[in-house]
Amino acid sequence: MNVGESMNMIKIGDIELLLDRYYFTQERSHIWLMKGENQDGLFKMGFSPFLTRIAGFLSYITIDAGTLTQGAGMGQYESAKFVNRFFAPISGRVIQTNNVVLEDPRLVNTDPYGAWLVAIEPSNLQQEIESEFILTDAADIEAWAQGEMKLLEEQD
Amino acid sequence: MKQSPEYVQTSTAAAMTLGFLPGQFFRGAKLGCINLLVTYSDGCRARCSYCGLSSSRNVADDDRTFIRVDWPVLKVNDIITQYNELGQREKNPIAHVQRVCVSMITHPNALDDMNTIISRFASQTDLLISALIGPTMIRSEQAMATIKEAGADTIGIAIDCATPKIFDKHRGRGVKGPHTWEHYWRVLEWSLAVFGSDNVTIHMVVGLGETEQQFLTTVQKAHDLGAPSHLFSFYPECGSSLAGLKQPEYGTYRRLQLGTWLINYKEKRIDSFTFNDQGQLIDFNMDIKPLIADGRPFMTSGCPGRDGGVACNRPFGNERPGRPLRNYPFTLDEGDKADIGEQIWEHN
Repeated sequence: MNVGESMNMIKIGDIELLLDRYYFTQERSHIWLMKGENQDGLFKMGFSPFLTRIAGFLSYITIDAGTLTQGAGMGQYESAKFVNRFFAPISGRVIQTNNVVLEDPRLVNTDPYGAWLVAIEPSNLQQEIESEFILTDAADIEAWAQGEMKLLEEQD
Repeated sequence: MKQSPEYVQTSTAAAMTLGFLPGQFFRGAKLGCINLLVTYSDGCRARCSYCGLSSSRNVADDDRTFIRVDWPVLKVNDIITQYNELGQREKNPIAHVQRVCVSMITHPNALDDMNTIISRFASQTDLLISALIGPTMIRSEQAMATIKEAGADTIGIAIDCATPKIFDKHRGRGVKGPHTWEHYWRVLEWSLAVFGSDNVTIHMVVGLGETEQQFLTTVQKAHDLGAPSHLFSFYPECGSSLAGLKQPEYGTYRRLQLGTWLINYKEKRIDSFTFNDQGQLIDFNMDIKPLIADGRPFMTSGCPGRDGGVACNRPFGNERPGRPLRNYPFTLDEGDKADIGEQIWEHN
């Protein structure tokens, strides 16, 4: 397993994890969460490259919850040979969905960090960001990612 | 141009298994057979109404699927090298792969190129080899002998349709296509003469307008000649002329899976089953609970591996993952068996 780290990124094998965002790990979710560029308090979320390594090229993404509860199901992703639910990283309200990505899910494969899915208005951010399932620290992200890569290699 | 025999189209499942595409299979399914198609810039000359390869299909090249998924074009060399490299690892990650299937399309070069590709797999890998032939491009029994000489051990023929009328409608004159029912059965007989009983199989597609009785009549006919049937469920390929047609009901599919299993492997005959006046199977006239508990009649039917089990298991080839399975690519769990128990006597 090759591990590399730069100021803004950790590389585990062929997986690159940007450090300008958080990662949500409950139920082996592979979701990133990032405060939006605007000063509107919204957070954007998307899928990390681990998810497309597991699922392959995505063909469908559905968002089926407008009001989110941290850890509860909020949608489903599907590829030619794989399907799974995904879970809300934080509680809040979905303010915007990225229809460009929902209509062309392969954008997640080609640009995982640009292909955000929804913008969320958090309702309990201060408390929920302390969850053991939200990784904010580079060392924690790296340790988790190494464990995920090991699991992937065992399953391949 | 990337054309056969140097290149082949490779099923998504095979490309994933060999590491050419990312991804794992839902429910941990493992692929048993590498499925390949010869490929040409001018494509298949046939016009079958339900087929993703049909020259009559109205989609952009980027949207072209076959049996529901993409078939990326890869170099034969790369596939063989990758298979051998993975197989030589201390912990072989593709030990479940036991067979390769090389398929013709309806193209003048397809037979020769299929044979070239088969001979390369035969000389450079340890895989069992199926040839899925395009009968319209085969004009003599001698042509079948060339396939055996190349190294194939099993022949598949996609008859697909249950009656001459349905065949003609979807593959012949009804679509201005080149195929005829009579020639397909003639080539089946040539194949049996060269390869022997049980080394020739037919593909049958459920859901092209046939009754269950018509379907099993053809299964029985092929069985009596020495050829078991492998079942596929119709899937509406986007842009094909049958894009709007629904998949067959689960009840129909389950009854035809079980009826085919009983005919092919349990010496039952179609006249031991009872059909209603719509041609629906309403009684097997035997206790089927042990067969549902066994589960094997509902697993994917396909060419065998070295262990005698099915190698060609086609995971999620007939449905999107997460939907109720039609062909189970793995051993059924208790939940699967309960689903089948509920589905098998649904009549619509």
